[in-house]
Amino acid sequence: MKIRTVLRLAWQGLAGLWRTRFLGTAAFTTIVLALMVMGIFLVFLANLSHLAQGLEERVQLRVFLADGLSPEAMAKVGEQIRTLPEVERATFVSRSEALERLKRQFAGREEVFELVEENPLPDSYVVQPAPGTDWAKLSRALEQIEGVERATYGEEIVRRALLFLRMTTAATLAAAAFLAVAITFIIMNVIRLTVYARRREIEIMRLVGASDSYIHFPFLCEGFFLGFCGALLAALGVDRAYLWLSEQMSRSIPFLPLLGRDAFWLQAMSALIGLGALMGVVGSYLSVKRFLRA
Amino acid sequence: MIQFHKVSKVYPNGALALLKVDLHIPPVDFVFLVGPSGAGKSTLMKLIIRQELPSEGQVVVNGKNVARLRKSEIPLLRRKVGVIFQDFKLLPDRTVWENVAFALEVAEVSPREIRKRVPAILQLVGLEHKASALPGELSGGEQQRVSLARAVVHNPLVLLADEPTGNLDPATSLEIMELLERINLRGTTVVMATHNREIVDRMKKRVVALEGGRVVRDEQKGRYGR
Ligand SMILES: Nc1ncnc2c1ncn2[C@@H]1O[C@H](COP(=O)(O)OP(=O)(O)O)[C@@H](O)[C@H]1O
Ligand SMILES: [Mg+2]
Repeated sequence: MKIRTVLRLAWQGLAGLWRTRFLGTAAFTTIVLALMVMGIFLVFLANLSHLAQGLEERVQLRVFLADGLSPEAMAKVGEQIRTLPEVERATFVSRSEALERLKRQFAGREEVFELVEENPLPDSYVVQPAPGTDWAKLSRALEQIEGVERATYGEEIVRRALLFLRMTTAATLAAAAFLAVAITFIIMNVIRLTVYARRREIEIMRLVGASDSYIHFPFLCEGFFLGFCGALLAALGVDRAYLWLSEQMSRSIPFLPLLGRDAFWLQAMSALIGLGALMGVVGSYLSVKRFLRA
Repeated sequence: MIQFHKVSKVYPNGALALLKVDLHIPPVDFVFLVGPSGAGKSTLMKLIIRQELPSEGQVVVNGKNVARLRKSEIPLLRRKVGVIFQDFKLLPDRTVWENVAFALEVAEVSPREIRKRVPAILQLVGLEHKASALPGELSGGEQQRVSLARAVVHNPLVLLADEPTGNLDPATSLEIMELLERINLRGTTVVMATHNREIVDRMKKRVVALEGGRVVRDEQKGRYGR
């Protein structure tokens, strides 16, 4: 389509929203509320993944090597680790790399390291066990290897907590997907009304030789605006709600900090608005397609 | 221009609309389709613009089997085949000018070209002075002329008219017939379905009679009945 046509049809879509006074209807309110719940899910997911990241670092299975091994000997230990069937991956972390990582974790408080003259950390392997592995058993097996000093994997409770976080994440994602389908469905029904209101025009368009994309386009724009505006309002709502919630939480349960609004906020809110717009377009596409086929 | 090869049409509900129809309409022909209601006249036209697909046989328009057209080619076919109906099918909230321009807009004709072609076609149907009127402010005959203008603004190869005078009084009907004849003389093939005996008998054109979905008569310079 030519640019001029695209603009004209987009304008028609906007006019369609106005004509049906859409932005004031109950259906639109429902869409905004559902999108707000969606936004809360997204923010919740971001927090979960942040929490999980913190924990993950504490539940690595680390295999510490004995002091004074030659590089060849270290490599040989690595080979032996990798031959175990429960081991999916094993990455070598030299003692100097380990120190670098530690320093990064203490960023801003480097004075701690001034007390240490020599690097006290051993060389090690970070092992990724296959899913379903019994970590305790595996670490005992690893300790049998010649040249291995010790194998540790942090506290069991932390590992459980991480597992729980992962399950919660999966459940939230499933709920968000379900919600996305529901919102798309609402938008589909809303657009169906405006398609129906213009059915005469559509019939004539087809008779005089309008292409399907020409017929679709204004409705796609309408759906887009609908999803976009809905998500924008929802984002504002979620923003206010989150601000309030973090204040409450930092007062009453300060040990469980929510992410600051600046860290990921723009991403989460653009994701919400993008999703809203996408659902609008998909919903109206399905709606018009169904109508044209009938 | 239009060929039907052993075309049958059965609707999904089982209604038989056309049965083994063979028909050949050469370019610039003027054909009346007659027959009782339910004989299959409208169905025959719907097959030509690919609003329906034949259940059997082939419909060839301008050298192309319409069933084999790609999705993107269907709009192009419809720009080559104009249609008018008994109920005009105008948009009530748009002016005469806008209703005619509509057909050009959907084909993405430039505004400059539209400003040139709409007045010319309105003049052809004698409505240049009603350009800014709404359909509701026009008589039936005038509305049909607007719909005719919209149908031929693309300079189609074929014009299909499905009972175009069904809602008009005899005098107005004759005006429409004059216009159809004029359009035919400009080189457009015209196919018109009608119940109007008087018109068919007066025009002395080719007559194809349908009954129960079959072609029961096809004669040059024919009459409505035997
Ligand atoms: N969309 C449709 N679905 C089912 N049956 C139809 C449809 N259109 C027409 N018919 C049937 O097909 C037959 C022919 O109809 P039609 O082509 O409209 O005849 P005419 O225009 O000569 O009156 C009739 O029996 C009619 O009931
Ligand atoms: Mg009919």
